[in-house]
Amino acid sequence: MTTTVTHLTTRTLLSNSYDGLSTTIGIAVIGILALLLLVREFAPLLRGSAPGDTRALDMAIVPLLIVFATIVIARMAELLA
Amino acid sequence: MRAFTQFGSLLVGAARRRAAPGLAPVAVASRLRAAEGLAPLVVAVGLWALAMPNVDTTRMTDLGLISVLPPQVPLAILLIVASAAWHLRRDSVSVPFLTLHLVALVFLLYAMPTVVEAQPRFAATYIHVGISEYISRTGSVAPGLEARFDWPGFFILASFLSQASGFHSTMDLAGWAPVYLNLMYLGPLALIFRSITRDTRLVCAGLFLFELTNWVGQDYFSPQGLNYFLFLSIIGLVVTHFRTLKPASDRFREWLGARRRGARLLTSLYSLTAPEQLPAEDQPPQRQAGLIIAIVVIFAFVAFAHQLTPFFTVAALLALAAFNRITLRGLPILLGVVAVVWVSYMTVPYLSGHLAQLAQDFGQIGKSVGANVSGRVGGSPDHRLVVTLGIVFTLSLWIAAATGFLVRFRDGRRDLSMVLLAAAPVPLVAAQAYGGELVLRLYLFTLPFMAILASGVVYGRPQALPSRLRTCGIIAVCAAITLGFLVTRYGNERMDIMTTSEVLGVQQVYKIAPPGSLLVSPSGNLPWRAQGFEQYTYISQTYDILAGKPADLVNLMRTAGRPHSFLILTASQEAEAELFNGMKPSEWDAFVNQIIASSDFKLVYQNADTKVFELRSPAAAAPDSIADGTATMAASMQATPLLGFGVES
Repeated sequence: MTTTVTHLTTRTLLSNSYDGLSTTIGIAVIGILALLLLVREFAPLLRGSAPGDTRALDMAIVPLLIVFATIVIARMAELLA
Repeated sequence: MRAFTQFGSLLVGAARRRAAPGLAPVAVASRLRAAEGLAPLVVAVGLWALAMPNVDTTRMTDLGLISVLPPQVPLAILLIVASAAWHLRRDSVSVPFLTLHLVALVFLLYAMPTVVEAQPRFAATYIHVGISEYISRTGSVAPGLEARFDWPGFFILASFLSQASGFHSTMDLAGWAPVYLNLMYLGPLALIFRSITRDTRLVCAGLFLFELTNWVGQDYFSPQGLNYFLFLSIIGLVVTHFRTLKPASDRFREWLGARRRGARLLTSLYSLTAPEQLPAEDQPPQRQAGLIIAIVVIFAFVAFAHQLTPFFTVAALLALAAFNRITLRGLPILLGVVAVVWVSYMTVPYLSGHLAQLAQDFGQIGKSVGANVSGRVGGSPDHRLVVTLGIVFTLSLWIAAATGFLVRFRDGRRDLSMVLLAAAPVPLVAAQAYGGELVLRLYLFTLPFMAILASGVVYGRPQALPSRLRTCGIIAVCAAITLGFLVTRYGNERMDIMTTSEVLGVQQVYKIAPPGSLLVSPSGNLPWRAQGFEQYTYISQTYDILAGKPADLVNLMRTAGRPHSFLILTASQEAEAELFNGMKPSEWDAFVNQIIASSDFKLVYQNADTKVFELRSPAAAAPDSIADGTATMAASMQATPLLGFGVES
């Protein structure tokens, strides 16, 4: 299973141009990130809990933010090149 | 003041005699008092209305509109301010009374050019109308044509509104933009001010001061004008409904309590994150969720409509979240993601041509400040005075704001949210010079918070009503502010005014010049591009060409390779050359005479303020290059730094 996932990921990344990746997978990543950030703001309202109880969401948000930053930096670098 | 009250008594004397039989004595007395109080307002509006038709803008000097304003105009403005200041001495103030004064003040301050000038002012207004007209006509945007198409929200909205409301063109919405935009700002401003105080006196004083000091002139028919309102709305909603009620972290406070070394310093820093005195309004969770969605939707429009405002908004919310002023701590990140996504994905046509320049300017604080401050103090002596006064005006307001903060701080009020909101835009100066305009934007985005803090100097202590003497002092200061406002806001009016002759002259150019022609002017300060936006190639040269020979200009125009080329010279361009470059009228006349005498140019149209020359025997152009006029135009427009093209948008 692990090998299959790794193989598929590698194939997907290598078979597309950067522009293609950033406008397909990149958009999907950004969509999920925006959704999670929105849910993070709603969470205290919906559950009536304190704003601090969003650690589970943060665990997903932080890596996605890093991916988002990478996408943006790469796009800018491509434009500068 | 007493004289006006007596005058009010005379005005309502007949009403007193007629109204008394049908109403209870107390109600009659109350109504008559209100009518008497409104007398100065009526007199002020009357003075202003009688004086404005006498304004002759053709006699304007380099000091701008104030040089031709009759003294009744500043007097009328001062009368309204004085009436409101006198009313603020009362134990209980009347909100409708003050609102009426505020509306009248906005009208008197911001309707002046609309009333005395036949055409909308600012060359940029005509470009914005042209972009909206393009969208109305073609139903699409053209990012490769002009950078502003990369942030098209405002233009699409303007196009929709003008069509939906049956206007012939968005030009019909443009003339009164400063008045209705400044009225629109009052709502969110009141929300923001009420987040730190329930004192109506202070809130009203802040609103009056905002209107009296909003001299930067970004409230015209522009993306900035509308997006500033949306910025204020977002901040207003957040500070009203999502203020914190609790300290940032109980655990951190406990940890601090257990420390020995440096605990005092850390504790005092941590105390800054304590909530403000006023609790947030209690809202049910569904309503809060709705407000969050509303904020995100408003911001999405802002990101789609303006290049600067999203970053000012994110900076403001980030500052509030960092100091535990708001409960929505993740909101700045979400909005930051939206803003960056728009810039990195949807503005590629603009970024691909300008990113290197933007990256080069990043962090150049000295260059940015130089371009924004010292770079502006130049031109004719009167113009230098106007710019210097603007700097003095700005610094005075900021000093007053610091003093007001201290007055309230001594009285036990912290107002840290306002300080943070005022400070948040400052780091953006390091990012860009924005075509020498960023300090003006900085002033604009800090103004609401500076205004409420500065009002604290006089009205910061609710328990202390200003004495008669102090109120007289306030009125004297307001007189100085009014004069300062008239000079700084309308100081460039000689070049900002677009006369009917100029507008007709430029319209004539579009009749004479076939599509595909090259249109050239010494600067972009003329009412062009309001039609046929994509059908012509436009070149705005710098004023250096005025110092050169006609042959240089001829070579430049022939290089563009258009089948027909036209040179347009207007009065507002002459005024700009004199104001900003210190050029003498005789030098402009000499240049025009050289063009007239040149065998390469033919005068094809002229009126009082416009001259249009056609280049004789321009270079023959290949048909494909004519069809590609849009790209040529985008490339040949004067490159302005920042997230671009900035000064006018």
